[in-house]
Amino acid sequence: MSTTITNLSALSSEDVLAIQEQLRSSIESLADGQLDLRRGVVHDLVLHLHAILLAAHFKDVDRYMSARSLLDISRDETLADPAVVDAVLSNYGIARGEARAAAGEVIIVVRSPNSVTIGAGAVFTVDSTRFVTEESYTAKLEAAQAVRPTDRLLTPHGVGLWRFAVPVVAAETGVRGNIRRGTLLTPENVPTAFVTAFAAGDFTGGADVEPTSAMLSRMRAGMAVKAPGSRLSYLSMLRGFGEVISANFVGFGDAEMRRDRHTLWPGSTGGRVDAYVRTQAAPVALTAPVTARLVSKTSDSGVWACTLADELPGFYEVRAVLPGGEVSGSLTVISEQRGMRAVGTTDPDIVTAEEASFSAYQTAVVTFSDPLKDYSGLLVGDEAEYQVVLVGMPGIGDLQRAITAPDYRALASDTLIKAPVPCFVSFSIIIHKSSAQSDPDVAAIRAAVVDAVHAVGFTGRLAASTVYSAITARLEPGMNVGLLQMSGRILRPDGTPSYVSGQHELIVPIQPEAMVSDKTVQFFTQPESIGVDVRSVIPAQV
Amino acid sequence: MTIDVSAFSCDTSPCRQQLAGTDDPGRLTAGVLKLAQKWLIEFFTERGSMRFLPQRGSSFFTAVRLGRARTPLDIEQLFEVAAEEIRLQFAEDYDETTPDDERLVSARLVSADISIRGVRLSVEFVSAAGARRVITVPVIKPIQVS
Repeated sequence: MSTTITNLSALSSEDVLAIQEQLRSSIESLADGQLDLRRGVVHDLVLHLHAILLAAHFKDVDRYMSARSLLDISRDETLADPAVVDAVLSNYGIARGEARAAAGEVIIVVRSPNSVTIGAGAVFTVDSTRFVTEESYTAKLEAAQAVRPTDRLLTPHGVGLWRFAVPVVAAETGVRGNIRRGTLLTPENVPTAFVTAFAAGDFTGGADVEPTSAMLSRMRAGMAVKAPGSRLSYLSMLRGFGEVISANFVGFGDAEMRRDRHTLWPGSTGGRVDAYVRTQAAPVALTAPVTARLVSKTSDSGVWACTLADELPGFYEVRAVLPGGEVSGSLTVISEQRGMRAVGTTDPDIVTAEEASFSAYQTAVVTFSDPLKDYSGLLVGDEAEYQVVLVGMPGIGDLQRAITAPDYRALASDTLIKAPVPCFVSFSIIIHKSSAQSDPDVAAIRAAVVDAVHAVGFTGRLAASTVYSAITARLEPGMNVGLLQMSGRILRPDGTPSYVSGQHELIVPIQPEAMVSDKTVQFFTQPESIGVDVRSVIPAQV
Repeated sequence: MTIDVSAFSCDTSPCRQQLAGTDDPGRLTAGVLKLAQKWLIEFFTERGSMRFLPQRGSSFFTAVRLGRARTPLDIEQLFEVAAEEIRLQFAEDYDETTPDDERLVSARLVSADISIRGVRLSVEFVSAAGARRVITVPVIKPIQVS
C-alpha cells in the first residue's frame, strides 16, 4: 500500500515554526542552555530543517490516522488518503468503483459504394472527448466479400449514400464518453467519400473513479449481511451481483406489493419482494434486431407484428421501429401490448402483465405499419427483419438471473427485479442576464440539471431548489433564473401515462394499487428535454 | 554564554566559509566571533530565500544581483541598509536573559576593497560586553573567463 508523502511546499509556516519552537525548548533544556538555538549554524542547518521534515511527517501521520477512522473520513473525506480509505472500506466489502471507458458503435456515412478502411486507432471526437477504433475495419459492398470478423457491410443510406458501423471505445475513462444515440462525431482522419458519422446507439459503460463520498454512502449496505432480509441487506446483496446505483424494495406490508395477495384470503401473505433497481443514472436507448410477421396488407402498406422479450429486459418503451438497416426515423407504431413470459416453479410469483412490468418477465407485442415495402410478393405470415429502439434500464435481466440462481435464491421468498417506474421530466428554463454579459454555457447547464435530477433518490419529490442549485452554480454574478417550469410523464406499470407538473416541486402521486409511489418511482431526464432560453433583459450595470 | 558550530574559518584573512575541512574537523564558536558569524549568515542570506522564514536575511545580495552595486558608494549604502535590517532582526531575539556578549552593539563597515580580484568588506563587530572583532570577507568575486 502506498501513501502519499506531503509535499514540503504544502506545509504552512505556522506549523513549521510551532514544531521548531517545541524542538528548541526541548533541546535547550537538554543542552542546559549552552547551545545557541535562536540563530546561527545549529539553528539553520539542524533545528530548522528538522522542524520542516517533522512538520511534514506529522501531517502525513494526521492524514493517515484520519483515514483510519471512519468517523474522520466521514467528516472530511479530503483529508483521507484514497489508498488508505480503500483499505479501510475493504473491511466492509466496499471497493472503489474503477474508472471505465465507454463503448459503442459509430455509423459512418459515405457517398460512394467503394470499399472503405478505418484503421486501428482511428479517432472520432465529440467536443474534446475522443473515441478510437481498437481494430482495423473494412467496409465492403457485397456480403460475400465480408468474410472476416472485422469486415463491415456497406448498406444504402437514403439516396446516393452508403453507411457502415464500426465499434469504438472512448480514449479516456469517464462518464463523458456516454454519448447519446445520434450524436455527431468528427473523424480526425477523414475517410474517403466521407459524409457524416454519428452514434448508432447510446454509448454505455463509461464511469469516473468513484469518489470517497459515494463509497461512504454505500458503506452501510456494505456492512449489512448480504442476504435476503432487510432493505439494507437486500441492497448489499444486489450490489454483489452487478451495478446498482440505488434501489428500493417493496415487500410484506407495503401497499405497493400486489404479488403476495394471490390467494383467496383477502390479505398479504408475505414472501414476495419487488426490487426497484436503478442500474445506471440514465436509461439507455438500445437498437435491437427483431423478426416481424406480416399481419395484414394492402396494395401499398402492411401491418407487421413482432414480439419483444429478451432484447432489453424490463424496457420502458419502444421509441422507434426501423426498417432493417435504417438508423433514424420511425415507422408508425400502431399498438404495443404488454404481456409476461411463462414462469416456472423457481421464478417469482407473477400472474399479470402489470406485475411483470419493467422486469425480465415482461414481454410485448408491437404492431406497426410499413408503407415502404413492396408487398406484391408478400403473403400474410411472411417474416421480415426490422429494428426496434428500446429505452430502458440495463442489467435488469442479469440481476434477475443472478438472484434466481439456485445458489442464491431465497428459500423463503422470491425477489422480482424491476426497473424503477420512470418519471420522464422535461424543463423550461429562462435565464436572465445583462446585454454586457456573454451567454452562459447552456450545454453545461443542461448536463448539470441532468446530474442533479438523476441524483434524486426514492423520495417521490423533485424539488425546484435542486434544479436551481445546479443552474445557478453555472451562472455568472448578475445572472438569474427567471423561470423554471417542470413537467413529468410517469409511465405507469399498466402502460398508461400519468402527468405531473409544477414550478416548485414535482410530486409523485401515491397510487400504490398501481405500484406508483415514492417507493417505486425515479426521475429521469436528458439534455434534449431541457429547454434553456437566455434573455438579455437585465440593464447593464455602470 | 552559548556556543554554536563555527561556519567561518578566519585563521587567515579574508575568512573562508567552512564547517570542516581536511585539516579541520570543525570548531565551535562563541562570544563576539559567534555574533559576527550570526551577522554574516544573515548578511549572506537573501531575504525571502529561506522557506518558512521569509523575514530572515538581508537585501544586500539581492541588490547586488540586480546590478545596483556599481560604485564604492553604492556598496556602502547597501551595507548600511543591510546592517539596519539585521539589527532589527537581532533585536527580536533579545530578552532580559540575553547576556551582553550575545548582544550586538554595532556592525560597522571599516573598508570596502574593490579591485579586479573582487570586492572585500572589512566589518568591525562590537558586542555589548565591549568585545571587538574585525572580520574581512570576500563578498564578490570576478567571473573567471578561460
